[in-house]
Amino acid sequence: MADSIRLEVVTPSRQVLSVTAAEVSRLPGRDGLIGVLVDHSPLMTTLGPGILGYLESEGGTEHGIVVDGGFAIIKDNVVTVLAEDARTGDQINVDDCRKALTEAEAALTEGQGSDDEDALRDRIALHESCLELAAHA
Amino acid sequence: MVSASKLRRAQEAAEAARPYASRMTEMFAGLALDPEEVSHPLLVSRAAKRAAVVVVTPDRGLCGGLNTNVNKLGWQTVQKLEGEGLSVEVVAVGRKSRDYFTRRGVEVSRSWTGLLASVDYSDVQEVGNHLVDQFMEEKFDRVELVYASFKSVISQIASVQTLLPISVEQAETEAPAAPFLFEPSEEDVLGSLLPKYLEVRLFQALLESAASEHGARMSAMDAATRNAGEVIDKLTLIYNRTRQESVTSELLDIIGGVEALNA
Repeated sequence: MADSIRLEVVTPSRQVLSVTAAEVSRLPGRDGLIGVLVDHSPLMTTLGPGILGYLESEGGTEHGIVVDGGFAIIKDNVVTVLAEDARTGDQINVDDCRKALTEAEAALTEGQGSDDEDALRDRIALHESCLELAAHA
Repeated sequence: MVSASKLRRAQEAAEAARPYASRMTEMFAGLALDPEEVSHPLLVSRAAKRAAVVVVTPDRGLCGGLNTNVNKLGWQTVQKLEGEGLSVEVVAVGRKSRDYFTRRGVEVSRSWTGLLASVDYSDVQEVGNHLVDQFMEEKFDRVELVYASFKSVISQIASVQTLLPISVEQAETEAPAAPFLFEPSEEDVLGSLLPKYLEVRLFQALLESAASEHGARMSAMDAATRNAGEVIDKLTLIYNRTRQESVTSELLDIIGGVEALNA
């Protein structure tokens, strides 16, 4: 029995993360958070924007990375995340994020009920996650 | 060598994109789709009436035969599809393909330029979304992609592949050891995976085209420099010979004059 999980995060333009983790504590699934422990059964899921958290050692501190939608495949203790974009805490510009968040919120109040609503909600969730992660970093 | 550094960057970008693409293909294979059972609009091959050919070329020339080769293959593809009784339109990525097909009187329904200068995933998404939307609205029933696949600095091969409908056999399907659970459901995962799969293939094609462009330009410019060197040598020889001739004839004139005076 394996005692660790391999976590890989890739985006179309690069490989962002490749680490060995004891536990993937937060996986932002479309329908809610998923926690992945060793020997999780094979799973494929779509991801929403949010923070992906993992523990490098059991009971250690949680490391986080923001992912912007995509997919995750869990199989044979390998968690592969195919994200559209992914950012670690130090890659986040807090000011830009705040500005984008305010803009998205304004656009949402204005365009209530339009087709873009879901997309805007995603943007908001993404920027909120970024800010949350930056605050902890 | 500007192209050399651009080529290196383009190659690096193409390599960096590979893990994502291969994982995505793995995932597609992991779905272990049964062509009989699965139904998704992007997988359905309808009776084709209209087809689109996406032709990816650089925006600029001076890169050897690259533009010509890609456009020629694009043209052959258009003719082949027309031969099958389809009406064909071209979606041009790159100024050279847009101009080529406009000149030949083929309908260019949409065109993008400036994408290859720095290939960005969001640009590719725009192209991908356009194709998916048009396909869903049945504006066209088949999409072929023509691009320059990068083999090496001296070899870029114009290639054609079918983008839509996505054929299930394209992914090597091997039965996974343990069947997957799906969240929220297999249909949802498939529904969001398919457009992404298309985008990734487009993205790769664009990255390869960009690398091809720089490779082709580099070897074309290298050949041009060598050619120019040869021409310079030849011209220098002619110049020297001509000058020598005129000096000789002037000398003969003077000597002739002196001889005449002495006589």
